[in-house]
Amino acid sequence: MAQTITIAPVTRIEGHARITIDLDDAGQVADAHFHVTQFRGFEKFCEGRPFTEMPALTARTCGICPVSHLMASSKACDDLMAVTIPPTAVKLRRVMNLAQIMQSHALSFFHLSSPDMLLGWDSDPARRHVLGVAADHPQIALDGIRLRQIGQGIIEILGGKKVHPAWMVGGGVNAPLNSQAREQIAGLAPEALEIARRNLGWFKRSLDNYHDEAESFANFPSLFLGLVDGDGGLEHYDGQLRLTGPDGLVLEDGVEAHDYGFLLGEAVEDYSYMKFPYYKKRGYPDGMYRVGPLARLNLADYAGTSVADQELVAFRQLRSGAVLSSFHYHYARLIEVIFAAERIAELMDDPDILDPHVRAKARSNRNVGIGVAEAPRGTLIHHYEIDDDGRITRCNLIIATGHNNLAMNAGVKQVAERFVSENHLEEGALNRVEAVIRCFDPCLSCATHALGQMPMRIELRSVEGVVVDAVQRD
Amino acid sequence: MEPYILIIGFGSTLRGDDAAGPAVAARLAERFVARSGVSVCVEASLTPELAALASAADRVVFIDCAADLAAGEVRQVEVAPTDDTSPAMVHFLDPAALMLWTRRLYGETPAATQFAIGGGSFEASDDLTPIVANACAFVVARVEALVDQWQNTQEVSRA
Repeated sequence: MAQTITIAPVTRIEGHARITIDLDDAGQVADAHFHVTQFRGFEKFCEGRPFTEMPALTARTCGICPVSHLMASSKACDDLMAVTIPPTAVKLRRVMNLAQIMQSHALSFFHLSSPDMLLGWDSDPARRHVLGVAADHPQIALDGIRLRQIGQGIIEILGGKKVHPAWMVGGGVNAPLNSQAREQIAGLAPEALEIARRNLGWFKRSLDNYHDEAESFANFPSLFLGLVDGDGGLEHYDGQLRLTGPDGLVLEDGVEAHDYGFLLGEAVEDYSYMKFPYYKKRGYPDGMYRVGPLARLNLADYAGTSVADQELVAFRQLRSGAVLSSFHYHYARLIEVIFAAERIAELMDDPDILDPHVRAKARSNRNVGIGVAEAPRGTLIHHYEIDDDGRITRCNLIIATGHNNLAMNAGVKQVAERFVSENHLEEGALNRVEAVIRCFDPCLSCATHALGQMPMRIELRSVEGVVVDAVQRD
Repeated sequence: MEPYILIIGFGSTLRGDDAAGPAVAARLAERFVARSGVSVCVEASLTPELAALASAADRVVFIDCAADLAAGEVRQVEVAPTDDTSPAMVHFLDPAALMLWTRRLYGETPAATQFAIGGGSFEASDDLTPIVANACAFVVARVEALVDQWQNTQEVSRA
């Protein structure tokens, strides 16, 4: 008899999501759905607004990665203005984006995920949180706090605020760097590098302990999408889109921002407000791909900084071809923090970094503007269309969590297949479903780790609606 | 040695009276710009990273808006670290939870005082209602007086 397992709620704040797992007549998992039931409406209510307001408006999409939206939006505005922004503005935008990646990855790895890894996925939720980590591994907890503080500190030095800085604008940035700020940032980067290296060390030494999770956490062939620079190197700000396969072969390369529509389609499902982007040539849903740190490390030819390049070589020893397990998003995040710290240090040494020319000014000179950048969680696309007065007539946002939507659904299904048998929910199902979602670090993961406790209920229900098994944590 | 006092005003500056904490903190930052031993932070919310700053302080002063008070009413309470970690989130904390993080992570428990100002409107706005603006002026004066008292008498009483 066909049955459905419902997990709701998945989260508490950004939450508004649930998971259902459908069983077939034989009691085996037939499908899994990750429902995002929250409606934000940004694409709609931005219509009619002057395009110059878009960076500030769209930054409010998120309190964790407003910098990412500021950047993609500012790039789309650059495009509408048809300007080439000053080189120093590009460098300063890069610094803020790298600081954003540093602080966001620190939040994901140390605050949200390290408690699982260090205390055990099935340890007592009452202490499976960063304070529990502080009790057993105090240096790691302090490192996590400090790393995020450094990333946020650099954002504040540049933009005046840690959250929602208004510093990035169409045409560049609204204030140059001064020598005092440069010294401050330059002084922070080496400490961030040291923290990232120290923690990547224990993570790599612990990999054997995570064998089961690496095998079962969204570990499947897929495509990978992200930006690379003109030489195929790791890129977070500019460059072109590249799409690779599970064997590591490049399927699409050199795709400019304006051509993303030829590469990607967007499907919708009636069970979720989150869109389902897919690779058009493979169709929907076969065109599933992943974005974010795992994808970026899989598709880049090299990182471009010394320590990150060494670590990238080691990372690629995990598997011939692309690294497929989403568990290794965690590994990739730490390498990207190393890259960010190294690159920020390089940029602070750039002889032009104090140049006062940081903004090009113009009115709108095009009716279509597209900005693509790499947010911590993956590729972020802002696509605006404006009328001749500069007002938005159409806005399309494709965010990283959306790109990963198909893969997250597939990941939940993979975990469910392991933890559901004979119409019964095995011990550990709740924790593993949480953890596989957390690998992708969707905005939802913020709420799914409320100091170790995600309110969750999984029900096994018959087609008549009778609950035949359930597990719950309040 | 003079006590070190950390003042944190927090709230959304886009939701009307929720900006009371940041407004008070901004004015205190001006008043204390030349004063040694006092730091002022304006925050959207309390985040774990503030525990690092709090750990270096002898006293922390929190200023926030409250929905459970009448508009313009001011409540001053001493804050102790909470024993309950279950509702605490990673992205934002309340003062008692931040004090818990400070104790657990850094082994420090500075004395802490919270001023809560009752809000009258939390609609989208960057203005305070007049009654809350008046209450903010009162809290600014009150915190100034307390800082003088704490620094002059070294009354910080770390737990």
